[in-house]
Amino acid sequence: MHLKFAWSQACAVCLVAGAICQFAPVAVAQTAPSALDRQRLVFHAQQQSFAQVVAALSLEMKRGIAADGVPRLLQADFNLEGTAREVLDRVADAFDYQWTLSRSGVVLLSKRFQNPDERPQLNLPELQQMARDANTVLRQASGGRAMNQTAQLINALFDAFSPEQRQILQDGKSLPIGQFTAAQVQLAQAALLGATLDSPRQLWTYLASQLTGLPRSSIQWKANGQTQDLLTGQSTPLTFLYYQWQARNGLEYTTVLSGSGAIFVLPMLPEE
Amino acid sequence: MPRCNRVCNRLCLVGVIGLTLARGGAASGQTAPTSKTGARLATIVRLALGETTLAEVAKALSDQTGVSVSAAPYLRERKLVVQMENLSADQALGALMALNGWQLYETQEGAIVITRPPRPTPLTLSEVPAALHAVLPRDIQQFLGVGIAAGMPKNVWERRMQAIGMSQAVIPRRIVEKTERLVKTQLDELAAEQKTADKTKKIPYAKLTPRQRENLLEALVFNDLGFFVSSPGGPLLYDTLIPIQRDFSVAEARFQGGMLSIGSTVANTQVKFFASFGAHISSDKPVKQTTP
Repeated sequence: MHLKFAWSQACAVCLVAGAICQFAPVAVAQTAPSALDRQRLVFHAQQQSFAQVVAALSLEMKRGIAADGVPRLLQADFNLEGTAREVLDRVADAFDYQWTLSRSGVVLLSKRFQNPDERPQLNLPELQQMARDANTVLRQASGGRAMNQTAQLINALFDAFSPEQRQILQDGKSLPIGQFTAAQVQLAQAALLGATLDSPRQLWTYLASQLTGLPRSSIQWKANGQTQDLLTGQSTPLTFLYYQWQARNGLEYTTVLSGSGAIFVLPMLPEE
Repeated sequence: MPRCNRVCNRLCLVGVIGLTLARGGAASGQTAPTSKTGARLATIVRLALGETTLAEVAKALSDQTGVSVSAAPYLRERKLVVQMENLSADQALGALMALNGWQLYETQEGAIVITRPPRPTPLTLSEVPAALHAVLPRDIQQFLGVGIAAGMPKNVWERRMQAIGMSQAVIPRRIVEKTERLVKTQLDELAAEQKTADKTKKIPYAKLTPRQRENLLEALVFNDLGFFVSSPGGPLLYDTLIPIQRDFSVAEARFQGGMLSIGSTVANTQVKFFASFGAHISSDKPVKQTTP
């Protein structure tokens, strides 16, 4: 069985759904306690690593500093003079971090990801835990239902409509939920859960399985089709990386990692 | 059962004591812990560790306080940069908990463990976004733009989305572009590092270099996160559910072109449309499914 995610459809869906709600305003992480505005610093550092800068700045500020992860930028130079807050802003900005204070006054630095090359920490055990937990959350929200039942539920709902209800629908009118029977509401709600949760459940199932199978996986480059330059007519073979792993059910699975979408080959993966 | 879950369950069974410093850090002047553990955590510590891991921080705290401090197995390798001196251990722990939204549990007197917060159990669709946020590490949430406003449009497409009141589509689109770029970078690096003469030869993970393993892990994760953001999971992540996903009482059914759709009419100042899901009605052949 081949399943290819409908990329454009999914995007369109996001656009529609995305139009509905507003994001919360950006939280301003850089709080401004007055002590940081009163404290003046002269801070110089030449070709210092993030950890070295943190140590030196902590000493200058007489404050503890804790940062999550390490930045992509290996070294930086600083010749700063200003309030502690201004210095903190500049240092955090240079390493693509944002800062806030703990209740006890420790400076907390976390990545802000404005640099497109910056990425979160990827520790395999933590990622495996994340994928399992996300799967559990989505399965619980699904009421424990099996995946890929939505279309059948919609069909069952249509079959459950009375002749009068069908006539209303076939006349091009809407049938409000208030005119559904209890059984029809149940079918429609179950279909909604499936339509909303099946795709993310499948994705997290794949990620969980891929990460579990990583230590015994393999990769293979395979040519698959070619592109042609419209101006020169020159053809270039398209090569994809195939990731192959064994799931807990013992079956081998393959994913194409193309950078523009995964094509899942072989049978659908059962939830772990 | 995963080991970490076993740990969490055991913690629950013994009567988990969430120390007050778990959320946001213990402030000076807060009610002092009453247990012997709490008293030991009042010890002034020196954590001049530089680039380190949570496991190493926990060990340093254990050594200096006499309290057995440990991290959940899946958090042990979490990289940190820590430079804290002249603080009590509970203040230092509070800062670390606040940094990543972790929690502390006292498993028995003199033993505490650092974990992620308990996994929420969503009972409705509208509770799923918060539950998903809770299971994602804080830096991954930030990376995926959860809770981030779109800001100024960066191109024609984004200006158009803003003009028709659909600016919330901008963040997922930007994230997808970012993850695609990162996946491509990882794959290019993997290809460039492949030294074998036969480029099409199957390579077991065990034969990959540490850097290649990182490349592969990043490619896998960003590939799937990109899909998650652009799939119907995106609205779940960004809490941009359509009205019927929040309140099913507003639903109505429509039938057109052989397709039964269930949804509701949505209008804002600019556009009006029927946000729905549904399927083609058929009894004798596979049906095509759409999703909200």
